[in-house]
Amino acid sequence: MTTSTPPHHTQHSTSVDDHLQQLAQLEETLNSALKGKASVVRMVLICLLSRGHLLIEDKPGLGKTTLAKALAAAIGGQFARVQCTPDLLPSDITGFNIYNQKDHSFEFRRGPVFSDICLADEINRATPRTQSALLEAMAERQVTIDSHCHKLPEQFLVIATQNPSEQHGTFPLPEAQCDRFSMKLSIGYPGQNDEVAMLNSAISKGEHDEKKTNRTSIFDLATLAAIQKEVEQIDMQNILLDYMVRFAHATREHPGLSLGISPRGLLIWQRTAQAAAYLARRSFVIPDDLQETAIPVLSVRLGFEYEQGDALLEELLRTVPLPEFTQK
Amino acid sequence: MSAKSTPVTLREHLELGVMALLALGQYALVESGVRSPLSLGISILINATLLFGGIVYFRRVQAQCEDQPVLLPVIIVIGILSLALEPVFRLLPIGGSALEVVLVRGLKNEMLLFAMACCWRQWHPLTVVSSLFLFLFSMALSPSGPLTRLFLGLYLCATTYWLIARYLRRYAGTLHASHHQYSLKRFLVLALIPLAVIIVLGPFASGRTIWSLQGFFATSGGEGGRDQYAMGGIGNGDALVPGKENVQTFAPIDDAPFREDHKPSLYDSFSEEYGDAFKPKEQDRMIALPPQKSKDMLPELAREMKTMQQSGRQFSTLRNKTGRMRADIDDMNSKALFHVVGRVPLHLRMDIYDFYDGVELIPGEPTDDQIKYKLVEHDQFHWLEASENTVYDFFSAEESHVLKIVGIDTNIIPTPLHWTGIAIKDLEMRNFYKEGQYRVIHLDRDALPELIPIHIRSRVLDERHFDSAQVLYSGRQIRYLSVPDSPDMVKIKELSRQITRGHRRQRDQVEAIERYMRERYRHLDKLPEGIPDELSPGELSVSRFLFERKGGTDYEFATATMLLLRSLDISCRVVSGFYADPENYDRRKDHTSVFQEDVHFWCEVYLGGNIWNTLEPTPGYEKLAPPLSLYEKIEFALLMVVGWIAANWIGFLLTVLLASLLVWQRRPVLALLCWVDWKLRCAWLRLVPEHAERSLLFTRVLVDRFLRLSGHSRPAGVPLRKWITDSYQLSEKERQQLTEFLRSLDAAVYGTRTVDQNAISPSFFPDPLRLSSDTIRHFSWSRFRRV
Repeated sequence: MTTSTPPHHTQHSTSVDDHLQQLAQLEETLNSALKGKASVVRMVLICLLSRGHLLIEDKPGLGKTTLAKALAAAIGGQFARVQCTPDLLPSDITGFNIYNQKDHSFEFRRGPVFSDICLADEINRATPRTQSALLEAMAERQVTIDSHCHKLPEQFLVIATQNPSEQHGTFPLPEAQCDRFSMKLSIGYPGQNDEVAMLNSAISKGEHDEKKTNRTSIFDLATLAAIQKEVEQIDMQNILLDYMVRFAHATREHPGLSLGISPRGLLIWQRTAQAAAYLARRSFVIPDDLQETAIPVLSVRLGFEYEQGDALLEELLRTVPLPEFTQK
Repeated sequence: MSAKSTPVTLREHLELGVMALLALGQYALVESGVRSPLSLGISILINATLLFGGIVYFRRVQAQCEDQPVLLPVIIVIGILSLALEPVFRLLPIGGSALEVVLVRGLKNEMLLFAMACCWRQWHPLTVVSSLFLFLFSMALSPSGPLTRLFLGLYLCATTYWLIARYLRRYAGTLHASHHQYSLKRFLVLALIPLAVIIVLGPFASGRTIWSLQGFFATSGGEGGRDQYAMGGIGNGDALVPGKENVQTFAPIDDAPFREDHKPSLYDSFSEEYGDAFKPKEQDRMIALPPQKSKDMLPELAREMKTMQQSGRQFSTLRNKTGRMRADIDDMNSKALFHVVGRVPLHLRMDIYDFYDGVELIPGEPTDDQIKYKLVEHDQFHWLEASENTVYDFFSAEESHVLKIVGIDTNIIPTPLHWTGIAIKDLEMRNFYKEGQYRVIHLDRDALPELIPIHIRSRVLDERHFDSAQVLYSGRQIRYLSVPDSPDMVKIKELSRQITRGHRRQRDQVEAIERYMRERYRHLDKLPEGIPDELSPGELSVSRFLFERKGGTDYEFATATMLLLRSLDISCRVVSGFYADPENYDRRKDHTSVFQEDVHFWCEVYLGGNIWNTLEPTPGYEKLAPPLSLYEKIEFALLMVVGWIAANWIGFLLTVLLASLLVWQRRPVLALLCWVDWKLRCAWLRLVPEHAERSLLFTRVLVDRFLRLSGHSRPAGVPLRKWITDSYQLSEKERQQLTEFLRSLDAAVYGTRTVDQNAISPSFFPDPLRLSSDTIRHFSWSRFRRV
């Protein structure tokens, strides 16, 4: 074996290498914020690169908010947070027009969605009306108030967290809203050692704490936009597109699924696979990328008849044949 | 996750039960011909009760435990049972059934079982198919009537309903789509197994083994055997199909019109086959008289002489010697005189010669009042049946032959010796048949009608029964003991004594002489060319055959044998006719053609008890053996196989050992084969470096095959990397190798469409061939066996 270090065989320019380095740094930062959850962090990165919104579903206190805040801080954007409660109104999210008595005119007061990263905590505790206010913002990256359209920032990213739906006092997200998110992640309890490390880091001095929260951003929004552009250019062979469509058909025809993958779902899946390939320093997508992103991307948008969700998806992933290998 | 199918509802189950019930009803019609209505009703009732009882039982079993019971042994036992019980039924007063009915009954029982077990979905297709098959088979066997039409309509309704219901259920999504993948490869491999079995067993199956199983449905007329349980009479097969275009395809039908034509007569055939009779010009003919008893015989002999001179049908055994003179006739499609459907070899008698005067065979009298002929109607034919009083009953079961006459100008019907019935369709008058010599029947016409099948029922003497009787061949008929008065007879008598030395019983003597003739003499088709040697006075025409040439034609064999036997006081005579040669059997048309060359002479010996037996002294000709029963046929086939194995036991043992070794170690062997295949492909790629990347694909295929053979078959949807890392504990080096290999492979397969040659420099990737062989070195077959 002559090759000691595997060369990454992309056609990335030097700027791509820089970007990748920055991303690695970002990953490291997030990992230190959320210990022992490398795979979740990786998915978050993929979601970020694919311009998708993120839904984190888990029990309270597992670090959902920590992760979102760390991410917002790291990419150097404006961060806003909405704590959803049943009495939260749509205007509390989008903003509202207020009458300025000085100017005798209406003045638009921006809501928390006018930020780069919006954390909607416990989104399923908000009423459906409020939830759907987020819809337009997420899908169109714009807000319409009193027939006036307000554009949202280009890199607008919603990170919503929710408690598992069987808990009391929740309004399950409608399927239409679910489809707007590109992934659903669940963090899960940390491992033994990671929990100890976490506790250990909590004992640290106040200055440390200060340093952590006021983390300097790793890259700016412009860089993120550039990276997202690069991700969109990642190549994908026809046989893989074929595979995706076959998979979608399988989900649509499966008797255990009331709702298959929508074309929008396929587009999102494709973009996340591209992001995964980008992170793996490849200039093309391979089936492994699709499979890696399949469960978080698809579990959010498939209607399961029974409580077998991920097992059913895994079964489908195992049985739908991968593209046959052929020479280009 | 195994897709658990929804349980079969009772309604669904009953739909299948109704289909089974209708097929059952149609099956009952098959038996309606032979069973009384009462027993039929009872059997239907029992079957229906069994069916619904079984349905209830199996549903209860299913409710108690999910797993289904093992049914395969039951299926096999039921299949065998109906065949095995048939001999028992035949002993009971309710009686047996024809073989095809037995088979249908077996199928019916299987169908009942399938229908009962339909609470498990996998039995549905089998039930439907078996009920359909049973229905159609029963329809073919039973007479069609209004009931059949009713059942057919109901059955169609039931099946259509089932199909629609099944489709709708599927549409509604209650029927889970199974994720089971029907792989074509697996199917092909399964299909190869029977092929392999046939190939392996091929060497064991000699022609005789296969032919011993011919005519499995004996009673359907295919073979023409006569069975008391037969459903449609004798010879009801479709062997008789009209053929008008070409004589080769000729198969006359029963009601074809009588026609007359001038075709070569039997005697013309004799002349063509054996050459013209040699007529000495100016020579007084010696008339042989029996040496002893000439006094007693004299008046009869005088009468015999008279008929002999009148009849003009003597057969001179002294022939002009000619070579084979029959030129092949090109412009004729068939040279056959007639065809024989049925078992061969067959000796068809036409003329009987009672006397031999030293040169010529002289036919006997056409009188025999021992046998009564009468016309009896059954099986849609008017049979001319021969009845005679015989002491012994050594006969096998009756069988049938059909003669399909093409062109022969004689009115003698060629028949086997022990025929019991002759029938020609629509020939209902007794006086059409005229008795000739012993068991020879003439048609009261100038010639046998052409394009007409003649049905003949006959029996065969089963010599296996002879052991019980000690007195065979001891009966004597004076008429068949006369020998020509010639000095040569002394030599002949001496020879016969010599042959039969040590044999006291006549039966042994007959066998000894037959054996002697068949072993010591050569059969010649023609006598050597040349002018016949003049016979010196008193010399017999067969003397030179017997003592000098030691070889000759069949009439010489027959005549000499007759003389040898008669000199031992055993009654014997010469018979001529046709020999249906098994070599002329046409498998496709299922008949044996008889040609002019098949004119033949043989002997008949008197057994006593008014029975004659055929004796075949000429080597190369065989007598028809008694027909085998089905069980005897199976036994015979098994014995053939066992015999073959015993004869080749070393090879067989080695083959079996090798085969079991291969089966036992099939995985390493297959892995080796895959590896060799891969190696060859890589070697080829070395020659065409521009396609070197393909070696990566081949390597992946090989790894996949190794995985499958080691029992870790990769599911179709899982990428190789994930599967290997999940299934195996990889060392660091292996992991590195796998990563490198898959990176190259991925780049080769999924790499960018926009080929940018600068971006991917050739040196960027390792040589694919080397990478491939490195990978296989790390991930060899033995590696995959270690988990």
